[in-house]
Amino acid sequence: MLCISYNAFPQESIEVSGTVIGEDGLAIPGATVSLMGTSTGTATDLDGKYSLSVPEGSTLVYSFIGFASQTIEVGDQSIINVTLREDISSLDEVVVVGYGTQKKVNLTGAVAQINGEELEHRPVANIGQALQGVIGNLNITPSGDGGTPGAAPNFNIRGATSLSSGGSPFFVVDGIPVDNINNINPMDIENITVLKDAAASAIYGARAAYGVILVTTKRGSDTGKVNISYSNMFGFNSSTNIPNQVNSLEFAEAYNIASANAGQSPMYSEEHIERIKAYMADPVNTPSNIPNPNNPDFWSYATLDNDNVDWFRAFFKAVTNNQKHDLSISGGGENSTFYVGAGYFREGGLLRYGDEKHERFNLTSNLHFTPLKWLRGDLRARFSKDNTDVPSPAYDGDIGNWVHYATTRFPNWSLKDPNGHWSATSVIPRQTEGRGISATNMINLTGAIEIEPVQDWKINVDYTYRQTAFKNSVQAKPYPNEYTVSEVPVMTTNNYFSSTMSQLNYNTINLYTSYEKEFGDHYLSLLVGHQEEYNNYSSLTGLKRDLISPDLPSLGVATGDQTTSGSLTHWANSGTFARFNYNFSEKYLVEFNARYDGTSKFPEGNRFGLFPSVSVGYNIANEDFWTIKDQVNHLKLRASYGSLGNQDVANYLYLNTIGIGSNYPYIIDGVRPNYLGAPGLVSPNLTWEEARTINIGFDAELLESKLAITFDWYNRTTINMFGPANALPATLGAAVPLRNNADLETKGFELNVGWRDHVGKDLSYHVNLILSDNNSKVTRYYNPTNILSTYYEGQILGEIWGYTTDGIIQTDEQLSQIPDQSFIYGNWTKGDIVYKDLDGNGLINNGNNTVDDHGDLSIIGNSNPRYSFGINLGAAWKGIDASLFLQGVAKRDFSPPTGGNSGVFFWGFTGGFGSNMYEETSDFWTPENTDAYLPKPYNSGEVRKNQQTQTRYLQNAAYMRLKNLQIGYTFPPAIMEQIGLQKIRVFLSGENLFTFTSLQKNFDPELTGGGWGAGKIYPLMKTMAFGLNVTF
Amino acid sequence: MKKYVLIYLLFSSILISCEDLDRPPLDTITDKEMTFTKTEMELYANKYYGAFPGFSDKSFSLGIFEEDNSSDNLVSGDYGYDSQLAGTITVPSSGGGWNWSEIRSINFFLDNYHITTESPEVANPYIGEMYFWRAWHYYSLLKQFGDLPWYNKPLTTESEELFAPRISRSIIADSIIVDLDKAVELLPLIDRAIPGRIHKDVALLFQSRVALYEGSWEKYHNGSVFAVADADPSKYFRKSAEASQQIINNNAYSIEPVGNDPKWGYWRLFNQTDYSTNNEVLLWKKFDRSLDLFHMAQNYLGVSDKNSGLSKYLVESYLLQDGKPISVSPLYQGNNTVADEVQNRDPRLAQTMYQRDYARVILDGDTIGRFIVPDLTFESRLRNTTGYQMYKGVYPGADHALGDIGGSIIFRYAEALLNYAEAKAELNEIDQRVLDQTVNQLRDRVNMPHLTMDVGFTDPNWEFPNLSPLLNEIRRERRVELAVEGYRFDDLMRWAAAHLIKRPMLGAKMKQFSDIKDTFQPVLDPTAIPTDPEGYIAPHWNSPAQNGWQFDPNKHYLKPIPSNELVLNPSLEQNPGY
Repeated sequence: MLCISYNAFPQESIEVSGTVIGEDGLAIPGATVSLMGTSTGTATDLDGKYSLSVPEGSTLVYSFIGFASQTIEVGDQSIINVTLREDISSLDEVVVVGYGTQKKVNLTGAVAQINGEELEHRPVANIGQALQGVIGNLNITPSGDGGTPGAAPNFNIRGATSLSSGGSPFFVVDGIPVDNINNINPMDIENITVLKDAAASAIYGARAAYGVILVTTKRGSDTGKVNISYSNMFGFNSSTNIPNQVNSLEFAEAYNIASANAGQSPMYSEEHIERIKAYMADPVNTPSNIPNPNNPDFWSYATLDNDNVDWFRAFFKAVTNNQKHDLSISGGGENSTFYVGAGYFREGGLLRYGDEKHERFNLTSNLHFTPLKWLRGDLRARFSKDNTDVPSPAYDGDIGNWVHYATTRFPNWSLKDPNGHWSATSVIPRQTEGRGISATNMINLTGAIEIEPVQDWKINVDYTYRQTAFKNSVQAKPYPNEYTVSEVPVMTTNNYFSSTMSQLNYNTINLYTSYEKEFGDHYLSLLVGHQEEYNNYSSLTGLKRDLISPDLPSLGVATGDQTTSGSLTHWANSGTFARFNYNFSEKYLVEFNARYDGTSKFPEGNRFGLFPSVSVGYNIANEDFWTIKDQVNHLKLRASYGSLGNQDVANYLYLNTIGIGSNYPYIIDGVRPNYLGAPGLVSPNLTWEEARTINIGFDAELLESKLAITFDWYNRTTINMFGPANALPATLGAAVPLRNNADLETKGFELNVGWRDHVGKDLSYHVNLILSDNNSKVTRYYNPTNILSTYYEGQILGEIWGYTTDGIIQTDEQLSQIPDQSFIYGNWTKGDIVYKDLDGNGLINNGNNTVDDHGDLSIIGNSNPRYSFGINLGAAWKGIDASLFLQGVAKRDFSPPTGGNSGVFFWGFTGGFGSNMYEETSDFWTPENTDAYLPKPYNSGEVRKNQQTQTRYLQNAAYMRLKNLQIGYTFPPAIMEQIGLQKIRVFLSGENLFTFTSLQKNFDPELTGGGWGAGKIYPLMKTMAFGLNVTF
Repeated sequence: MKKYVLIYLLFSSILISCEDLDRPPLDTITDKEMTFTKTEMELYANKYYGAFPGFSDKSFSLGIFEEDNSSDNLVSGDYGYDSQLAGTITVPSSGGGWNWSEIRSINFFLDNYHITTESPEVANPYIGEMYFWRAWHYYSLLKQFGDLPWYNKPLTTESEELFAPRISRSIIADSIIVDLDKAVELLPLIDRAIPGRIHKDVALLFQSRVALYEGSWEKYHNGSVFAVADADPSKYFRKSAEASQQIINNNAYSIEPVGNDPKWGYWRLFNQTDYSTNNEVLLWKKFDRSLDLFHMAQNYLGVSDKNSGLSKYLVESYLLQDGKPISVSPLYQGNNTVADEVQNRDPRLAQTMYQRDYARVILDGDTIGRFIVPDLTFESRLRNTTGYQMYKGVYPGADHALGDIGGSIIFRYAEALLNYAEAKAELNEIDQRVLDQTVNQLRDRVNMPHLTMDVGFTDPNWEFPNLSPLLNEIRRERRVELAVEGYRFDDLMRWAAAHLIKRPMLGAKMKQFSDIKDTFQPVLDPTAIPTDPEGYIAPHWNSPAQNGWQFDPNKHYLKPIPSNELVLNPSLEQNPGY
C-alpha cells in the first residue's frame, strides 16, 4: 500500500515507538501507523517496528491490509505494541476501477475483484485458464485450438453480446488497453477486476460494451525492505480424454455391414478378414501389409492393409510436461519503489513425435517515483515473448488436425510397412519434417506523471507505446512418403519456405484530472479526462520454393518460384470521459459516468456517440435503525443503468471494398494472374451498436463477515445491432449488408456466496460458491417470413430445432405404417429411424421451415451453457493448506452434427470419408442387435436420413470438472529463521483431474465444437504438478 | 510555479496528439474508386475462369472425366451419386445450385463499365468476356431450374426485382443467346486473343451449345410438364447451326490424330500438357508446376476412376469397324471378355477403355505397371465398379507423388461439328455434304467408315426408336466421340431420355475376372461383386436402383428450388413434382 508521509506538525511532539505484530506473533512490516484525522504517519519496518513523533494527546490508528484497524490513544505512553487481528471483511478493500480506485464499500456498479495470489499456483498455461469459473459470468471457454500449446481461451462477460461482431471484453492492464492478457505472467498480477455492468464500464465507453477486465500488476512497497521471491512448478500433462478405436476385426465387420446396408459390395473380403485375424493373433510375425497386387514393388495403400492400429495412440502420447519459473524482486523507500518480475513458462504437447512446444518469457518492471511532494511518476515496462514450435503447418494446417487424421484412419491401415518404415497412410513424417515456428514479441512502455498541485486535486497524464512484432516461418520439407517393397524411398516434393513478419503499433495518451473531497458527511469526487488511440498494422509474407538445402530453412537457400503479399490497416479512437461520485456518510451513494467517443471505424457523420450511465447504492446497514448489525453487519443495495457503444467491429464496413487477389489458379498468358474480387453490399449509414444494461444487486456480509453474499441481476439489451443478413432471396447474389437493425436481450444473474471461518486457532477454512446464468432472446430482427434459417424475433439463442424420434423401425409391420418420410429420404427399411409426425399430416417434413409453419420440427433443446458454477473449498492447518476447485455447467444440450465426417465421434459411420468406429459408437442396429442405441449405419450419403437432429440423440452436455486440487506446506517460521529465509512453501497441484458428465465419452464437454468437426480438437490437458515458492 | 508550467505542457501535449479519425483503407480499393481502366477490367474479368470445368489446382478431382458419373456412360458405386437421376433428390432449404453471386458480380461490371476512358479496342474484349460469363452462369441456372428471373443489373436490398416471378425459359434462353451475340461481336479472334482468354469462337461454340440445348428441350419435352408455351425449337436449332457453321467456316480448326498417330491419336488428344498448337482445341486449361499449379487426377484416373467405371451401354454403343452396330455386324466378337469386346470395334473404344497390358503407372520413368484385372473390391473411393476402366484422359507418365500438369480441354472443335450435324438434322437440312463436313471428319481420324444419309442398317437397339436412323446415328457419334467428357447428362436431359436413365446400370461380364482370380489373389473376391442374373457386374444390384434409377420423368428433369427461397419470394413457384 502506498503511503506518503507529510510532516505537518513537527513541533510540540512526543516520540512514540513500538512493534506491530499479528495474531501469530509474527512482525507485520509495512503496517501503517497514522495520526487520526490527519495524513501524518509512518510505516513499520521489516521487524514490524515503528517510531513516530506525535503531539501529546493524540490518537494513533494502526492499520494493515487484511487486518482490522486499531485505534489507540497515546496518552503518556512512549512504547505502544499492537497486535492486529485479521479482518475477514473485505469492505475496506480498495478495488481498482477505470482511471482510479474505489473502496469496495462505496462501489455501486457490478464489479468483482480477485487477488493474484488466488491464481498463482495453478498449473495452467495462461491467466485465462486460471480465471475460468472464478468470477460469476466471466465465461471462459477453450478456443477451437483446445489444449494446443500456446492456445488462448475465449473470454466473455455475461453471455451473448452481439449477433455479428465483437463481444469480447475490453482488457486493460495498468490503465492501458491491451488486445490480450494471456501473455501476462500470472505471478506479476496484483489483482484482477471485472467490470460487468454498463455503469462500471462506462468510463471506457465504446471499447467496453461487453465488460472490462482490469489487470493491475505488482508494485514495490515503500517499506525500505527488499523482497526476493522465487517459485517454480513442474507438471506432467496428459489429455483429458481420448476415444477408443475398435480393433481391425470389429471394424472390418462393421464396415461390411454398413456397405451392405448402402447396397455396396463388402470392402473386406473373407481372405482379408483372415489376414486381419492372423495379424491380431501374432502381430510380431505377421506382415501388416501386402504388396500392391497391381504394382508389386509398392505396398498396398490403406484398404488392403491388415494392421491393427489405435490411431489416437499412434499419433498422441500419454504424457508431456511443463515447467514454470518465476523470480521477482521488489522494494523501495520513500522516494521510489520498484518491482521487477521475470518469468519463464514452457509447455510441451502431446503429439507422439511432433515435439510441439510453447514457451513464454515475461519481464515486468514497475518503477514508481515520488521526487516531490506534489509530483509522482511511473515507468512501467512489460515485455513478453511467446514462442511456438510445431510440426510444419504446410501439411497439417493447425496441429489439431491430428485428431482429424486419427479419425480418418481405419484401424487396419498400416502404421509401418513390413520393413519397418512409416507407411504412406501413417503420415507420421509430417510430425517431424519441417517446422512452423513463430515468435510474438510484445513490448509495452508506459510513462505516467501525476501532479497534485493542491491536495486532492490530481492531474494525470500517461503515454503508452506498444509494439507487437510477430514472426512466423513455415517450412515444407520433402520427406519419404513411403518406401517401396525394395526399400526405395518415395519422396514428397512440397519444398518451400515462407516467412511472415508483422508489426502492430499502438499508441495511446490519457490525460485526466480528478478531485476528491470530504466535507463532513459529504464525499465527492470528480474525474474528467481524454484519451486518444492510434493503431496500425502491417505485415509482409514471402514464400519461396525449392530449397537447395532443406536443412537450412530460409529464403536464402530457396531457388524457385516466389510470392509475396502484405497488408496494411489502421484505426483511431478519441474519447472524452467524466465521472462524478457522491456519497453521504457512506450510506447513500451515487455515481455518474459518461464518455463521448469517436472512432475511425464508422463513416463521417456517424462517428461519435455519447454513452452515459448512472448508478446508486444504499448501505442500509449503516443506518441507525439497522438493529441486526450483529447478524448482518453489512448490506448494500445497488442499482445501475447505462448505455455503451460497441466499436469492436471490422474496419470499413461502410465501404464497398474490392479485394485484390493473386495467383489465380488459371494460367493466362503464361502466368497465374492477379484478380479483383466482386464488391459486396454495404450500408453507408452504419453506426454504433449500443448495449444498455440495467443492473440490480446487493452485497451483504453476515455473522461478523464470515458469510459474504453478492448478488447481481442484469438485463442487457443490445440495440441497433448489426443484423447479419436480414433474409432476402438468394437472387440478390451477395450477402445482405450489415445494418443497425436488430436487438438482443440478455438477462442473467451472478451469485457469489463465501464463508470464511476458523476452528480453534489453527484450522481456518473457506467455501466459495459462484453461480451465474445468462439467457438471450432476439427481440428485433428483420425476417418478415420468420424463416428458421436465420434469426427471428423471439428466438432464444442456442435453441435446437429437430425432429422427435419415434424409435427405430423393427418390423415389417412397423415399416408399412411409418409416415411418409420421403422429404428426408426416398427409401426406409428396418433399422432406420422413424420420426414422429407432430403435425399429424402423414408427412415428415419441416413445413415451410418458418416459425409459423415448421412441420414436424420443434425446439428440442438449447446449446447455450446455463447455470455455470464454481465451487472453491480451502482449508489451512498450521503450515498445511489445501484447496479444491470445481467448475461446471449445470445445463446444456449438444446435438451431434448431421451428416458428414464432423459427426464421426457420435455416429461412427457418417457415409463416406472420415467414417470410423469407436467403442462408443459400436452399438448400432443390426438384425441381430435390434435394441441398439444407434440406427442402422450406411456407407453412403443415405446415412444422413437417420442422423437428422432429433430427440433420441440429443446429448446432455452438462458437466462438473475438478479443475484444481492443491495441497501445500509452508515451513514453520522457526525453521525459516534458522535458515535465514522468510518463507518456503512446497505444493502439489492438479488440474482437470476428474470430470463428471453424462455426455457420450468420445467428447470432452468443453470441446464439443471444432474446426475439423465436432470434438475434433487438440485435447485439453490434465495436469499434475509440484512446485516450490521461496521468499528471501 | 513550475508545476503549473508542467500542467500547461501536459495539456498542450494532448492537443498536439489529437488523432485524425479519417482512416481510409490502405491496401484495398472501393467500388467508388474503380474507374474501369484496362488493368481493372482485366483483373476483374480474371476471376471467372475458375468456373470452367476440368482438373483443378492440387485436387484429386478427375475434372471432366468424372462428370459422366451423372449419366449412363459411367456407373458410380454409389447409386445416389446423382440424386437427380437416382430420384433421391430432396428439396433443400437453401443452396442447391440456386446461386446468383456470379450473375451479380458480372452485372456490377456491365452496369458500370461505361465510365471507362479506354478506347473500344482496349475495352471490348473484357466487356465481351463479361457478356460471355453472364451467359455461362445463366445457362447453368437454366439447365438446373428452367424458368428464371432475368437480371441485367446488380440488385440492391431495396430492389423490387428480388421478388420477381420467374419468366419463361425460352425468354431466358433468348437473353443468353443475345448476350453471346454481344460477346461474339466484342471478343477478338483466336489469333489475336491472349493465350488462355476467351475469344470469339469460344463464344460461338458456347452459343451453338446453348441454342441446341434449348431447341432440343423445347422439342422433346413438348407435351410434358416441362413444355414451353409457344415453343419454337427450330429457331434455336437454326441459331445453333449458324453459330457452329461460323466456326467451321473460319477454317481455323481441324480434326487430326494427335502426333499423326492413327492408332493412339484420339487418346493422345486428352493427355497433352500443351495444346497451344493443337488445331482442334479452342480453349484449354494449362498447368505449370513452376507456378505451383498442378493436379492429382492421375492418381485415380484409370487406376480406379474414383469408384466408377464405364457402363455396359456406353461400351455397346461403339460401332464395329464396318460401320455397323454390335447387333448387326458380323465382326462383333461378343462380350465375354474385355479383349473380345474391342475386337474390330471403332478404335475409339480401345482408346477410351483400358485393355490388358496397357501401361498404367510409370514412376521415375522405369516402373511400368500393367493392367491385370480391375480393382473391383478396393475401398470404395479407389475401386472400379464395372470391370471397364477408363483410359481416355489417362497419362501413364504422370508423377503420382509430384502431381501432373496435363492440360484440360475446355472447348474443342469436335463439339462444333457434332452440334452442327445435329442441328442440321433437327432442321431436316442435313445432307451428305454436312455429314462429310462433320461426323465423317471425326471418323476419318480413327479410320472408321463414313456415315451416309442412308445409314445402311437397322439397329434394334437404337436408343431413340421413334427418331430417324440418321438422328440416332448422329447422337451415337456424339456419345462415342465425346464419351466421358461430361456432355452426356445435358444430352439425356434435353433429349428427354428418361427411358435410358431408368435402365439398370451394368458393367462387364463377371466370369472373365473370376476365371483369372487365382492369378490375382488377394484383391478379387468374386463372391463380393454383385451381378445380375445374366452375369453382368451390377454395381447397384443391392440398392434401390437394382432395376434402374427412380428417375421420375414428370419431376427430375429439373432441380427443386430451395424451400427458403419460395418463402422469401412468394412469387416463385416450385418446379413440377416437388
